[in-house]
Amino acid sequence: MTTALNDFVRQVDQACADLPEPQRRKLVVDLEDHLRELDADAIAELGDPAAYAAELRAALDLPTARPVPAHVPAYPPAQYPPAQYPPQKSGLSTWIIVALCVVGSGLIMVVLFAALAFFGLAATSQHSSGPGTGAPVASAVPIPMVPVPNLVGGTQAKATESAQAVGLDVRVEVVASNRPKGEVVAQSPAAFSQVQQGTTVVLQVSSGR
Amino acid sequence: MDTSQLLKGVLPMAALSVISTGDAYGYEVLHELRSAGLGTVGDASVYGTLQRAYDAGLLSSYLVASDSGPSRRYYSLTPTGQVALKDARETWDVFCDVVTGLLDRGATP
Repeated sequence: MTTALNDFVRQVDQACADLPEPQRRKLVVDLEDHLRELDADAIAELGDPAAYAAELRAALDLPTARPVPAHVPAYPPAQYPPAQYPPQKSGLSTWIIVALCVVGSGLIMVVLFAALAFFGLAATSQHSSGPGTGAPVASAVPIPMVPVPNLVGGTQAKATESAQAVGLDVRVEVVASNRPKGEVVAQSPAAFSQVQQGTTVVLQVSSGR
Repeated sequence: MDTSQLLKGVLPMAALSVISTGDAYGYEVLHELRSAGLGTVGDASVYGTLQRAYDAGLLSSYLVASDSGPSRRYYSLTPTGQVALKDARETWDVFCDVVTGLLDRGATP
């Protein structure tokens, strides 16, 4: 790849830094293939990379760019790993993780319920019979950490159920995608990261075409 | 009149139509569109439109080695793409008649 082409792709990539990782990687890898077909004159005609990126995003029906912090690193095109999306996990390990999540969240909910019930009763009795029956305060219970399930590739309903099963909140963003309508195309935080229970997981759900 | 919004609406149909006359690679489609009179159309718009049509299954593609430089990705219409083009054509004809009718009835300054 020529230097001019390399620079151009890098700048388009930077202008797309706000896109979800897999979407951005696909865009850049596909764009490189396309631009390689052009001769040097044609590349000179492409004009400003930022304007090109904006026009390309409009044509691809992607949202217009949002400003992102300047420190977000651009991926040098030469170092792209082979495309692999969505990440495929073996069925067995996924089920083991799901099972652990379900069991873990069950235990956590029992503990939380007990704590809440205890605190609630203590507060009631405190109100009715005066001071002296102080209970341990619920805030002394540390918020448990849970692993974020892999939700990409499933339906919105299934992903929401899985996330709520481990005690995570869900926020849905509808995005344009060629995946079937209602399919989760991206998630944040990433699968298998450890987060506090009650954390909101943002699901990007395909609007379908 | 700013034609960029109009262009965005008709570009998928126009690009499919170019490819329906014979398989073509991206830059070829761009040139066809420009020489047909869509002089303001940009590479990013055409390439993005082709990519979307490909992702939607309207186009298939294959690589052809080129004498000068890297191989080129040629696009051809899939059966779905042919149906989509036919539908678009019908919609366009009706739409055009309606809008032209409205403009004809309007007061011409």
